[in-house]
Amino acid sequence: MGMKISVCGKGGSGKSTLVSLLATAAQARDLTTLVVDSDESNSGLFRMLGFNEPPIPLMALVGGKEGIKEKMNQPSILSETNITLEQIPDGYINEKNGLKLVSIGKIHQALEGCACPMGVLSREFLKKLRLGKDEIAMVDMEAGIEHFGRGIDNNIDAVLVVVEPSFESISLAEKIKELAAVINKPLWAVLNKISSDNLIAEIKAKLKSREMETIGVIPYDASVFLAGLNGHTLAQGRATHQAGEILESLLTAKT
Amino acid sequence: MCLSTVYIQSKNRRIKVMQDVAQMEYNQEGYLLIGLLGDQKFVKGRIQSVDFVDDHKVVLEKEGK
Repeated sequence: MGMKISVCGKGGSGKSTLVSLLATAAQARDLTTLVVDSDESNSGLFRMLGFNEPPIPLMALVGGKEGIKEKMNQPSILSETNITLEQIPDGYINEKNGLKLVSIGKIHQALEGCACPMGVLSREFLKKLRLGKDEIAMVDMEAGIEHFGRGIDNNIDAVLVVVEPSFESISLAEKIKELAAVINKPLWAVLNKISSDNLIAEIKAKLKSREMETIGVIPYDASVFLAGLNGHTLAQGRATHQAGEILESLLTAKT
Repeated sequence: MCLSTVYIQSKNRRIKVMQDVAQMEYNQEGYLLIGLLGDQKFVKGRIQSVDFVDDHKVVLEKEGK
């Protein structure tokens, strides 16, 4: 059975970047990789993954927020007990060289109401998703911790929390660790945006004192910075190499 | 979570009927519950309480008890 990994953390810490790096690393290892865009605010993940257009959001299968009442009583793959990658209809999944992307839904309008239906959809999709042994799913979570309250994390196998060098980020990581522990999910920290070895050691120590292990450090990589600035695909470089080591550690931890 | 969880109350027992309920339609005998993913269930009874804060809980009670 494949692994479902969620990537959490403070807004702007680098969740989408880490997801993209891990997905690229998994692709290089011939794993079929499904990225689940579960962040209803972020709009550019598809570009980082090298797609020209985002997939149609899964919310559209139940009518989207505007048409939900008309369409929700019609059957779709979301009414199935199990969902395999092959069952996801064309248009709702982007595919390129073993890398796949689905999106739960996005907020488009001011005053359109809450994102609760997307939370339910995320939770149910991840619960029903069945992966083969060479398949892996990476979930780009919304920033913060509300997804724990919505039960989305109940259906994943491991949590990665991205930590940037700020007290707020470390504090939030500690809260995420506590929430993950309640539902018995293993958690590791990934450090991001930290350039000095001394600072890396200091932040690892801070996390250790809060009972969090660091599984890897994403080094500064100018190509990642430029790709992020211009909305381009991440290129192979120091950061993707390091993400590969994080992925190896995760897969080893699972087996 | 804004989707509702519907319970039926009968004497001393409260049983969960359905969660993630997106819509309830009344007819003369009870309510058709429609879930976000298209699941449906009809339940006889009348509304006893709706809690908009705690779990968006809707409690129905059986009539004529």
